Amino acid sequence: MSWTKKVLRINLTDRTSTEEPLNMEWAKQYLGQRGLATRYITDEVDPKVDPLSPENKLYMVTGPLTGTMASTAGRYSCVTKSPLTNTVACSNSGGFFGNEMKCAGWDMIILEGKASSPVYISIVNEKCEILPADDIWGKSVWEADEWLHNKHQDPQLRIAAIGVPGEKGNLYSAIVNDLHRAAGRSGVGTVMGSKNVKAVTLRGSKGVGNIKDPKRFFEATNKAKKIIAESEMAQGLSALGTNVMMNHMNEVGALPARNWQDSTFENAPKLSSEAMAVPRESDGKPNLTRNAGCFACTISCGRISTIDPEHFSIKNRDDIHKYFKGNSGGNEYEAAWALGCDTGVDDLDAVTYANFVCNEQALDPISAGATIAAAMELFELGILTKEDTGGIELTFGNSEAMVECIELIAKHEGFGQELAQSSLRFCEKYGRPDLAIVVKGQEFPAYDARAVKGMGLGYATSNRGACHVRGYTNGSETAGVPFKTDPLVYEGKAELLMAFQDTTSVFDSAGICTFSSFAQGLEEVAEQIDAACEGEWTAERLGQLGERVWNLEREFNNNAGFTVADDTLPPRLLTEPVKAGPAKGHVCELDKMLPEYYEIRGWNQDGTLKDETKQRLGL
Amino acid sequence: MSKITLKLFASLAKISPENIGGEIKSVPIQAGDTITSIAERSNLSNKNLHLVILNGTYIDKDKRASTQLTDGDTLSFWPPVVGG
Repeated sequence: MSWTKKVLRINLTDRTSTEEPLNMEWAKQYLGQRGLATRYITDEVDPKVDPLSPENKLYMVTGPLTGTMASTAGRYSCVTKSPLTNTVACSNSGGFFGNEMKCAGWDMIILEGKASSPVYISIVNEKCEILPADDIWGKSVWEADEWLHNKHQDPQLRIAAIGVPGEKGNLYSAIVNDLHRAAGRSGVGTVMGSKNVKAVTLRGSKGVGNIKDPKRFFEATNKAKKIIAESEMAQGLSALGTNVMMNHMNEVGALPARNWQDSTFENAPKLSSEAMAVPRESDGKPNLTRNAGCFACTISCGRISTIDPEHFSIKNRDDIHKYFKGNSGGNEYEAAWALGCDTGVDDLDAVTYANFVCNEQALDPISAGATIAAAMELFELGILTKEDTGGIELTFGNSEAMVECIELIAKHEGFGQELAQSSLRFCEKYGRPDLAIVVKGQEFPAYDARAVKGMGLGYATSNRGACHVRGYTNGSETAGVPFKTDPLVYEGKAELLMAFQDTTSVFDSAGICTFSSFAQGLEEVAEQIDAACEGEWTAERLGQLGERVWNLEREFNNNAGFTVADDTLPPRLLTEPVKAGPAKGHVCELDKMLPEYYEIRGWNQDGTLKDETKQRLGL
Repeated sequence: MSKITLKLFASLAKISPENIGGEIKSVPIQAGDTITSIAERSNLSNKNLHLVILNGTYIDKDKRASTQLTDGDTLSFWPPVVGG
């Protein structure tokens, strides 16, 4: 129970939709969301498929706890084969779209095939319509959102949409729901665009019931909520948001800057949560307006902010959406880092503006910022010229240039079309693929792997390319959560990472936010799932389930053609030592961790799964 | 007089334009002062001192009471912070 046990399969090619029962055998093995949809894609899609062909599928999927009263239970995921990485991709989003899907009676929506012309999907409980999207094709997420709300005359409609970049094949396009929450990474929006789907709108009035033992569930969720609410981590996230990490990572010498040439950024405080809270001179208001929570969240880490009305990005401009002069979501740490530190830009309002553009046009701000940063390095080396950039003086720290680039990417015009191909393809074009700070084609997040060794192993082995939320060992290594380890040692990191990866896989499959794992553990999650779902659920069972999910993703990637050679880091991290700070002189010696990681994973040294591992996990 | 630099971060710091990178104080120390004695004198609850970094090195909780400070040290205090 707790699952609705219903899947909505939408064939875009022949414009039909069918209801089918959820495969409950798979649900018992993979739970929901990330795990369950990975099981479906493994069964239904050739791992070698062209990600932008009609044969690829897009799974929008909830977990069994999504939409329930469990804390942070507003999550849903988009699972597909990524056009950015060619791996299996799973991008997770909060907001209110996931719980609405559940309230409409669906565990999962599968988009397959390709529409012959632009469409959007309207789902109101059981009723599914595939409707023309000609009026909103070519529009931003924010414009589409307004149009759809007006058309359906329903203020409570929940909408997930792509922007112009997703329509045009930008490889790091996101799917944005509720205006500024995003399934952000790996180009899941690009896949949606390749199917000629602009948006999915949801309205559910069924509620989420079907709980196995409501009384026990009430007790279990209340207990977990109390743990989360009383945790200092959750209180800190509520007060300062994820961007509290900006000063922290800078202080520990692990804040990459200027395309990872540096590991600290001298002006990081100007981009920090603290800076967001300081009133500015022009109107006396701070950048930060308030915090914001997703459905059922006890933490509310989200930020809602404004741009200085006197800032060049919005002053005297009538060509921009009204929200730019009002509020939108952000800055989160990763966006502030990529659009700021990585490009050397220390202008908080320029970064906020660029982040708003990413919200408006559904772009992954990490990949967007990192691609601009790589282009800046090429420019400073003289490899890229003003002829290439269309006249932009693309130097590190040039906030006007960064803003111009993000606008061109958003419009998919001029130089922006080149940047839309992601940093790896862009750097390859100019003969310097080594300057693309990527693993498996996906740009790095904001933790220097030379100064935080476990993160290096995590980037190299992440099943969707470089990623911090697949195994956040930084929590332990620099922040001491749940316990402190030394970020500069290699010993023990393989085991630490595996624990983080498998546990995160559980949270990502349950319908709850991985941030709740800073406070609650698998024991608490198991109590909630056991009270909600049929069968017996223990922490041990969930732990193995997480391991199963990780291995299934790995198997998909192996079958897609990935090998041990892809489990590596960019040359800069392997050979260029950190210049200053606590990690001075350090590189990331991956070979001191990778063999042990394969061993404890139960993999052969060529990165394939051993037969006994497959057997043990039921793969 | 011997002094150390005390740096307070996140919720331990007073937010102001001067403190966006943390609140930095020059604190006099006496012979025998430890991390714990400085924390107590600064009215900081041990509960909130999640991360303690002395001259770039993390100091475990059980060593804070015995780690003595010397002139010119930089001592950083952090409450629990996570994110991403």
